[in-house]
Amino acid sequence: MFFTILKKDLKRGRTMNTIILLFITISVMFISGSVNSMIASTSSLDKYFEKAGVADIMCATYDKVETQTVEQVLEKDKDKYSKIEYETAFFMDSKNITLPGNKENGFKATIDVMDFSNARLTYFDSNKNEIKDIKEGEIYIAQKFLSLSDIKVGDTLTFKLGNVVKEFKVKDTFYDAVMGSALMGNGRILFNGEDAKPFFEEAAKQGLTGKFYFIHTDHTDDLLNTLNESELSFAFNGTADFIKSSYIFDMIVSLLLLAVSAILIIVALIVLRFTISFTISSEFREIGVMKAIGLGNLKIRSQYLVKYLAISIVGAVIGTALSFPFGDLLTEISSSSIMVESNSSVIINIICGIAVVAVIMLFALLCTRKANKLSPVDAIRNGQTGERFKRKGFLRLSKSKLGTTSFMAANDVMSAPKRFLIIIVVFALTMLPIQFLDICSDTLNNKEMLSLLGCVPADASFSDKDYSYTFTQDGSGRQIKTDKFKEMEKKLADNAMPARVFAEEFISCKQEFNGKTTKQLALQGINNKASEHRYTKGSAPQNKDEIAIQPNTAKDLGAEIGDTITVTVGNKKYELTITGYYEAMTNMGQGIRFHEDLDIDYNFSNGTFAGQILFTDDPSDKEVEDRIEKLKDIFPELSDFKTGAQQATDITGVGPVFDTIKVFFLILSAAIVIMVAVLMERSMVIKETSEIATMKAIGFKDNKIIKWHTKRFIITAVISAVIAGVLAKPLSTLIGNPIFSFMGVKQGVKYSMNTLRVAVAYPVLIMTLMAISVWITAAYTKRITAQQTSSIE
Amino acid sequence: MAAQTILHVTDLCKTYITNKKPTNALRNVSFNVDKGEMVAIMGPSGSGKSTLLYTASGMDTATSGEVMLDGENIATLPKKRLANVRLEKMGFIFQQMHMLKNLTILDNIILPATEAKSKKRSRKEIAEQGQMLMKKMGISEIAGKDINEVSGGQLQRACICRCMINDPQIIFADEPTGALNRSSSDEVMEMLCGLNREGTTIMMVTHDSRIAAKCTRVMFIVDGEIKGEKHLGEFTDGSNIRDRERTLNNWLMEMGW
Repeated sequence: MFFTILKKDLKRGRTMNTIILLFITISVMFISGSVNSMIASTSSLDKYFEKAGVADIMCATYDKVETQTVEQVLEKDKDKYSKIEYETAFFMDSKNITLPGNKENGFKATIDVMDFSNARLTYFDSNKNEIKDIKEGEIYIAQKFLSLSDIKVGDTLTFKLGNVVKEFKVKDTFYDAVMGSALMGNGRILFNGEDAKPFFEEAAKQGLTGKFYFIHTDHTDDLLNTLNESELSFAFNGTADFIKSSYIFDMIVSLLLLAVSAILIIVALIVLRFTISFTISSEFREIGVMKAIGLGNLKIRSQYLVKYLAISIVGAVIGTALSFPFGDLLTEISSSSIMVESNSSVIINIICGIAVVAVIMLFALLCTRKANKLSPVDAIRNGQTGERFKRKGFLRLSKSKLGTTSFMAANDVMSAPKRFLIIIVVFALTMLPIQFLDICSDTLNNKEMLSLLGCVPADASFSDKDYSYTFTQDGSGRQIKTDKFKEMEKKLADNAMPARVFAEEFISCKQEFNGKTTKQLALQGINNKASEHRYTKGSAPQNKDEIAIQPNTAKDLGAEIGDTITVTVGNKKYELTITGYYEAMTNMGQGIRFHEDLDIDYNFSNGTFAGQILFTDDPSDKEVEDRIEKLKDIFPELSDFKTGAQQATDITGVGPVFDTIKVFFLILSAAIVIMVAVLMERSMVIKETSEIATMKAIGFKDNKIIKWHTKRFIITAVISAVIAGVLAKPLSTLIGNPIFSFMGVKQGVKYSMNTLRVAVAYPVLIMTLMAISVWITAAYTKRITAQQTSSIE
Repeated sequence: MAAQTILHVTDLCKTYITNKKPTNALRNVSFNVDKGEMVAIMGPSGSGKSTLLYTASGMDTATSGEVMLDGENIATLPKKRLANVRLEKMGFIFQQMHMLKNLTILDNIILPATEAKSKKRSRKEIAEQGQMLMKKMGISEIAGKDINEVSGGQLQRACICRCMINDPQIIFADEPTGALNRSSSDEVMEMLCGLNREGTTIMMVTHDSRIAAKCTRVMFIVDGEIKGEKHLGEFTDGSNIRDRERTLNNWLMEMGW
């Protein structure tokens, strides 16, 4: 009997059953895919580091300022490490690597060029095969570098360093374990040893060579402390765990995908509940008759359960099959910089499929309890036992100024709030992830983000070759640069663009307090003041004997506001009093800020993100863009002019990933909205066949009925949009704060929301899709005739 | 003065195809209904009486034939125009008192009026007319109630109010008392007869001779064909109802029922 009923039901509710099947399929696909992707991102990172031979401690030094080698520094701790190795590198400005036609490559950071003949790590090509050899004239470029530039595999690039100019063909990309994450600024290139020689010679002349050290040890803390206490100046130093943590954005993306999968499951369950509830209430007569002839509750419920079990199993099987390629795709999107082995696990996918079926069946079991409440009387009283009278909505057509269809739509929503609440929740759930992603993306790509990157939120930024290297790695660099900025300010004023020009300089130094030592980069403003930055506690350094400190560094030192710490830059020691805390994501929330008047040896400078321009006449965004065009003519010796927002985007480097995910979620949300709208409208049409027929019998035209149904969904979508609009920012804060906190910003993230996009464009898009879907589905009511007033199906 | 024909049905046929097998529910049915008449259609189960009512009222499409209502052939009208005819020229009363469950009784009653554009009444005027009709039907106290808060008899009287809200030229009723007890049934029939006395044309299906006896004319249908009709004359009050019922029953027996 079950199979007869099942067959009939599957045929009769073809559209609804198909959509439920789709939901279950997509849910299984997503849950399996994202769990695999999550596992891949976490476990694969360990495997990847192991395969690449990443050491326990890594540090990068500049040859020019290095007075000792790392081996010499660690001489007294010889028994604490098993091996110290290093790779040689030289550093180039990205714009000296050009595409054919002298076209810039689009990457906005320093490039570290490695001599492959000295490679100590194991590098893997795009096919995850170990790179054994690099031929002359060929190079490999890091995945991240490729994704953030205009370069493609196969391109011929021209490298220019001093008088050395040579062309190279991009053979392939490679996985870069140490510098490959979005948060690590530099891009890396692997050169053949012979090709590298003339460049190394030229780079050595310019002081642009350095070493990447790999220290294999079981005493990470001890050795790190020794290194920090040494006179060595590091461009970067940290443990393998620290480098792993820089892959946070890859983790975040996986977490976001997992969150979306969870939302999908919730949506699938809500939709299922809605459908079961509707099916049962619209089949009151059949259920009543079955009860009248003596069938028990369990027997009656089991026919529904058999149907949902059948749909769930089919959906789970299809979803599990699709989850293998889909999981790989998700991993590709979320972990492009991590080398992941074929990640989809059959067992995990099957477990996820079974789990989804189990959850759905449990849910179906709970939802079908409604059938218990129906009695044989329902079969003869149109589903009303006459025992419960519950007043409906409070709107009255006789008093309303609304048009008939608008009134009926509004009245329906008011009369059955529970039913429409489900739709409201589903639509809000589909809108919130896009809004959240948009807010995160907007926050990261906003000039205000510069304050969390240690800079003053300025209107524009610029760079040039001399500025990036010569100026900053010279003892007189500070004065030269200050003079240059003053000259620029004068030129800008002469061109009716009053502005201040400044930069934030990163300086290598060591901090000591009560026997504890840290070696974090310090920031010092050139031509700007420490007081122009935001402080989360205390105040800005007011004189040169004062500093501000990041809370993480203060914690590591055990120091607080009011304490005086010893800061060593090169050979010079400073006794500086902490006046306040500031937070910045640079170096994962570690560092200190000097007062602008503190005299520092700029031989220990590590450069800056860029020079910055803050127009003092408060121009509009459009005006800033126009001025940037003019700046190119006024300062031909400078380059890379961009807005403050673009500067923030380039520094964080996660904008493109977020944009990809946003588009992905938008398409997914659109598909969910369409499916939910079609399913729910179809359910309602089936349940309300009698009412629709009655309306036709009293003279309502088809289009009026379609309008009535569509308006109901528009009302719910508007409510959803309002709820989502109100919740978007608090929710982004709730989810975003722990993420930023991990990166060192525990307070003070100012979330930026493009109101037009978040509160208007996305909701309108969702509403339009929903309205079109409902309108098309509601057209089915045309097939209902006036004489179907007694229809129960 | 000759009576004015309001409904003119000619050669009406309705054929259902079940499993590729045609069933002729109506076979070349022709009849007229004059203005002010109250016509009952009677016949055994499956004879086609409901099909005739639904097809003649335009609720269902005819396979062939002509149904002229107020000069328009509703059998061939486009859907939009047909909806307008239902809205403004006719009323329909179902056996099961179909109303929209999310609206109050009054709102259900005035619903068709809010859509009838030709009448040009304000919402207030419509509400007043609805209340007036409810008062006339003796159900004004249930105006603000939900449909599941009232009795079947009250609900059917509300349905009559609804079908009267746009002053229709004719009311079609499909066993209007079929789902009611005797007392409610009498009340509803009293209302319908009252409307008829005021000039409203009514055509109804019934299997109850006690109900049909209150009509001016009874048509007897068997196997989709009208076998005969009986003019009972105007039903003025309840005094002669037993005679009319007896006359009708005798005629029905003659017709073979």
